[in-house]
Amino acid sequence: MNKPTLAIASMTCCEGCQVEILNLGKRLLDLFQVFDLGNFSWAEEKKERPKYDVAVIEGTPLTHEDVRYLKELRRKSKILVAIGSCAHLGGVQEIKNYAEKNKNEKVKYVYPKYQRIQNPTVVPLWKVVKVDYTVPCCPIDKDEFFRVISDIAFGRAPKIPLRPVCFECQTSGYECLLQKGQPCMGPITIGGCKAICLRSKRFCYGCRGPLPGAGPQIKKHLRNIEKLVGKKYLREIMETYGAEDDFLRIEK
Amino acid sequence: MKIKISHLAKIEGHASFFADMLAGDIKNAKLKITIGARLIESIILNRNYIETPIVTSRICGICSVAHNITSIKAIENALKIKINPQIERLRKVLVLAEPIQSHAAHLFFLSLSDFFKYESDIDLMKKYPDLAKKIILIRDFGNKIKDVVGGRDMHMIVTEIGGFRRVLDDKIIQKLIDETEGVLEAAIGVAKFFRALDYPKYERKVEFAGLTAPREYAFYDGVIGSTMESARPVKKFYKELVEKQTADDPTKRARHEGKSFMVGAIARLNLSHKFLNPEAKKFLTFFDKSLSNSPFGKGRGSVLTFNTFHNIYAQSVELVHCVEEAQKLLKEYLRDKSRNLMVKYTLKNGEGLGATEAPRGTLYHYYKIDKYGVIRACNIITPTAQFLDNLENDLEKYLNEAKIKDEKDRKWKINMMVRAYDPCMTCATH
Repeated sequence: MNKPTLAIASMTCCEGCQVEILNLGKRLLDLFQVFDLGNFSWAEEKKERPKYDVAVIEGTPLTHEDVRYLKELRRKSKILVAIGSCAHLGGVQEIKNYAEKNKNEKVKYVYPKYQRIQNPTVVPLWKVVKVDYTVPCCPIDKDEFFRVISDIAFGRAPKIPLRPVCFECQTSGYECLLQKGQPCMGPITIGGCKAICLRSKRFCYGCRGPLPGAGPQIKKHLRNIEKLVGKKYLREIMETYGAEDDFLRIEK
Repeated sequence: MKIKISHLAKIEGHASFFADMLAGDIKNAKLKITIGARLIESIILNRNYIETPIVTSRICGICSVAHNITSIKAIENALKIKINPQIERLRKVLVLAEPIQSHAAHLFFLSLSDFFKYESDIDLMKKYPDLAKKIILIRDFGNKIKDVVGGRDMHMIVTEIGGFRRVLDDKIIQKLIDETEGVLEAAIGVAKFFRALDYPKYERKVEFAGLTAPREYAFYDGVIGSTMESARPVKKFYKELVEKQTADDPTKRARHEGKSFMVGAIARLNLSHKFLNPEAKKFLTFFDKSLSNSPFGKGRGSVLTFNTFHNIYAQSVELVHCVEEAQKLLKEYLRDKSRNLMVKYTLKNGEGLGATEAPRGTLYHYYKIDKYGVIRACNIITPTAQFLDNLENDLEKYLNEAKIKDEKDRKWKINMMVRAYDPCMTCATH
């Protein structure tokens, strides 16, 4: 039997999610046992295949070439998996969408000849193509990724448990930063990250996106955080990983 | 005739190569980076300063620590914050973890196949299982330092303006120290392997620049040393750098007083080799031969090599040095009984510049901040933005000098030279 083909591709981003895949170490070799790797820039010369069973994509489509390649991958792949906050929510670069008051203000600051720069609105993958599964987080948690890709390899639909970041935070015995008066997004953010930020006493910025189906709680929580730190800083927190529009959409 | 290689393989990010061929000579060698502009320097403006190092860390997944720490240092300079020696020790360890992880990956996964003409690293792993094991052990150790000291193997969580957000259990640090002996042995094995490789013969006299310090092989702080001029404060050198936007890609290349120059492992080794740790120092004998054969042999001062392909070997020597240094710093940290890892400070108006040695060379972050903690100005100059012009010049010279058998051979040579530089295209664009 032929092995299923796998593409691991990047749009514009820090490419850290690919590095996390490389960080799987020995488990990466297990992955190569199951999949026929069609495109992974770290492992070999690029060999584009006519078809993929699975395409794993990080980053945001910021150039014409990104958009073209994303559509090509969608066309020739059975399953498309978005990985990381960029592909899922827009990532840090989506701050531009929220922060720009005048057209081209941000690009003009960086580039003297800004007309040469492609400067589209920053969007996650799902706004351009249909996404089948998402592995959230900035960067992805490699264990979670391995679980998802293994499920896909064995024909199971991967699922991320519907519980907030608080679940893992409290079962791990970490200090609740919300109770200390910090603007933690843990209660309304989908968990699975092992509450890694809380382990280091940093409050949750919601980089994994809103907890599905938690509309009323999200609305209430955002109102409380707004009282705590004011509207401007609340927005900055949600915008850090490009999640503001995603939280506000669910809230409605 | 035009020469074009679209999608240079096995480099960090996306780039293509272009050149003209006139009467057998290569002219106008150009690298065009095909990554979007994320505008990191402007999107952090008019926002709270605490998130700045979080966002700038995301410039690059391979050198996230360098961006994070350089950002923190620059903001601390703006706010006139003085950190204590214990904070500095742990930060230095973190900064060293990055070349450990990055060099190991680059040496094995990206560069090595060029010497053997294997198409796939999976074949390489089968052919050299022992080397592969050592590389994985070393990489894992670099990642473990980041995870233990910085809170995660990428995009640091514990690091903060003023210090660290939490204090570690000493037992965890001791465990790291216990691992260093085995990792050092592996690093020595890797460096021996790379010492035995056959590097292409090539030289070009260029300026090497990077952080230098009075008594150490600098990564975390210092003044900018140069192989052409006297050392100068970071601020002075930074002001001598001129950034220029290119015509056809979203990079701003930096030149030093109008000229291209070189940064990274080879620059650091040329500038600071006398401060290498004992085991790493043993690997300098490699250069005895190349020194005696070099047309630049006489009067070259402390410069070990002008062969940019030796950047690969320099990385393997740094692997050994960094593991030794991390071991030393962690032991010093445990000997010092202070566990105060956060200093108090107040917000004020100010501007600050920070520089560290990222795996690929000197990284500069500059900020202006106001008394409310809002960022008002920012500029970032990455190592790759500094050496891209130098790389293009090297490519031109090398392709004109080297014996080229056919198109395939030319493509292979171009790729090998680009990979020897270990460019990071996502950093170059940011």
